[in-house]
Amino acid sequence: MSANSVLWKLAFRSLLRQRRRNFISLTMIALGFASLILVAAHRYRGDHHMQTTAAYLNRKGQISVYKKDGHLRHLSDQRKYSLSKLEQTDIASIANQVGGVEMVGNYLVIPGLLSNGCSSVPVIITGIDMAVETSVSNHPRVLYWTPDLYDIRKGVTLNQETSNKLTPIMTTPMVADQLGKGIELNATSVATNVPLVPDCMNKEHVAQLGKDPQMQLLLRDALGDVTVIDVSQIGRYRTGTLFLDDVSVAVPLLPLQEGLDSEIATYVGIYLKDIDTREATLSALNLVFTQQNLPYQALSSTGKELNMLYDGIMKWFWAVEIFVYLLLGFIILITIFNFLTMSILERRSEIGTLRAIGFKPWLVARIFQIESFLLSFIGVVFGGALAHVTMLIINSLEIPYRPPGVPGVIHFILAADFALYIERAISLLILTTLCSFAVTWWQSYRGSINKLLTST
Amino acid sequence: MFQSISDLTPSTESARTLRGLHKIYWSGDVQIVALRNLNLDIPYQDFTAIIGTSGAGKSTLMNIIGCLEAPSAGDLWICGKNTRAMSESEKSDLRSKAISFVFQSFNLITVLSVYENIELPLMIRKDVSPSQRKDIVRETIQKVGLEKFAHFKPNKLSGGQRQRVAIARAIVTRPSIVLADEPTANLDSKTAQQIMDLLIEINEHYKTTFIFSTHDEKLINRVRRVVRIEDGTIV
Repeated sequence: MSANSVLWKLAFRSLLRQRRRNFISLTMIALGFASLILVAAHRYRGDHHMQTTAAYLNRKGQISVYKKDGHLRHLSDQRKYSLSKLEQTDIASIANQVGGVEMVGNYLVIPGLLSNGCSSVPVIITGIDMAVETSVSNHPRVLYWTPDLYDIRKGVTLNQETSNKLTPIMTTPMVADQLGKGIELNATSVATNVPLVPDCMNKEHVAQLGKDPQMQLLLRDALGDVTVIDVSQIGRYRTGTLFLDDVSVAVPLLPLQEGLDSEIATYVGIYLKDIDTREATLSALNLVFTQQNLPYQALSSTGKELNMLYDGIMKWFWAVEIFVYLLLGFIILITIFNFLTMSILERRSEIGTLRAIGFKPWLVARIFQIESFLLSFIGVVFGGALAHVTMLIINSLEIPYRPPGVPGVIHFILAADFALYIERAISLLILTTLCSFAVTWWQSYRGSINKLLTST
Repeated sequence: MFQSISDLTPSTESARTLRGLHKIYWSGDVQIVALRNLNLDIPYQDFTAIIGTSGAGKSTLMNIIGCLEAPSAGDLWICGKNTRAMSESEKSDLRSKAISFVFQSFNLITVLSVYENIELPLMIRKDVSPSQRKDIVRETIQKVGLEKFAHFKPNKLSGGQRQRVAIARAIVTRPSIVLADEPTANLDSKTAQQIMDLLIEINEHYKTTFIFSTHDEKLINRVRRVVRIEDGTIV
């Protein structure tokens, strides 16, 4: 205890001795650490943005349970790879038994055509489970991580529609544009005199159609029969994913099932209370399915099987972060190496004195290791504060940003949780401590005490 | 190895015995013989002055006696133990408990106060409790007359006061031997005499063996024994 206290005292006071030089080293470490945090914060925000997009905007839940291989083949063989009502209930029951589940929704995904009376576009129709839709579309994670995608929704959402005149439908802006439905959706803009049989070459007719929320949804059931459902566009939504945004429409599950004269669903979306339990829940579910020989397959909504975009972008994020970490880590190590080498060279006489009065080499080395630790620690604290302030400033500037894979412009936001700061700080402190051990071990055994004492 | 001062109770006739000591330095391809076939016995509680001209080998001899340097050949026995067989760690223990140094340029730690400098050697001793340490440091500060300067930093002190701090730091562990390499070289003659008085008083009070090197002939009439060294040999 006594030895330790004197070592810390010597280290701390020695740091204060060369204030200007140590301040420069401190600044280097702080800037390096702040940069590490900012890069990590960019990745962290991107990660949560994409996780939220996949789970809530795409209505996949954190975990989607399909018929085995259904995620690959449900569009081509609906009959074989759909889940019956009994199976949907069975999956929900198993999920609730596994625990940690916030809500469970059933979703039907089928291909179809959406027509405005003059033209049609191929779409992927998602039948939404209205029992959980309010909680899903207004989930706190949606509001927090994807506010831009939530805010650009126009009209009303499926769960807000109460008129019950026609089956409500939400389209993405890209689908709406393709059908000339790029209008503001409110009561005053709705057309009242749409021609019953429009002349599609007549600009006035086309303009009237654009203001008419009514459309026809053509879909093919499991037996190959074509069904047409009259739908009314009530709002626009974003899937948050570029390649889904140009083909996606959403309707309530029940009228879609009625149109198909069936109760099938393509998958069961499982929404978790804590997203960190995703992997554990996934494993538990698949274990139950295997043990009970059930033909289901639980998949992560951010896994490679369901979400190649997430997988690819996150790999890229990590590659960038690791590269920056190595680069900045190297610069910080050079700073520590330089700081220690200069300190040891300048204080050779002091080292000799300490050795002469009985300090063992490792005890002398520890003084410099503590100095290095203190410098790194203070640098990390200041760097963390700097990163935090920088994030606040950047986030307040609301910089428009068009990230890959995301339709339209969102705001450039950086986010980091406390664990991210702590993890990066600990890894950096370990790195600098190892460096200081290497440098001081090498230096403290060099030269006789007499030579150290006579050093100037 | 040396658990306490009582372990160093004289069990042989000499505190230090040097036999056939050689020390050779190399400056490139040039061989410099600093000590040659040197034999010396230093009795317990002795007050010995090693005198000689500059380059005679005084400092080298002091360094070897203090285990700061290893001889090129020959043996050094400390309290009956041959230092040749000692590890670096054992030598550190020896310097922590049995040997102390007073340097010509004081070698105080500038970031520590007078009190902390004196306390420093005791801080790495596990066998001294904090209360014991406090008592010993207070007594030692009183002994060298620096009570009023206990919380001063060394750079606020005069040369004589700094050397008193260095002496206090050297005796605070109550070592069996104190090696002082030209302790008065950087001091005026009056202060040098005061420092000599202090060293003699400590020698008598604590029964500590003192060896100091000097080239000042005026100081040698105050010591019991003089060892004159020339060209690396005792004359």
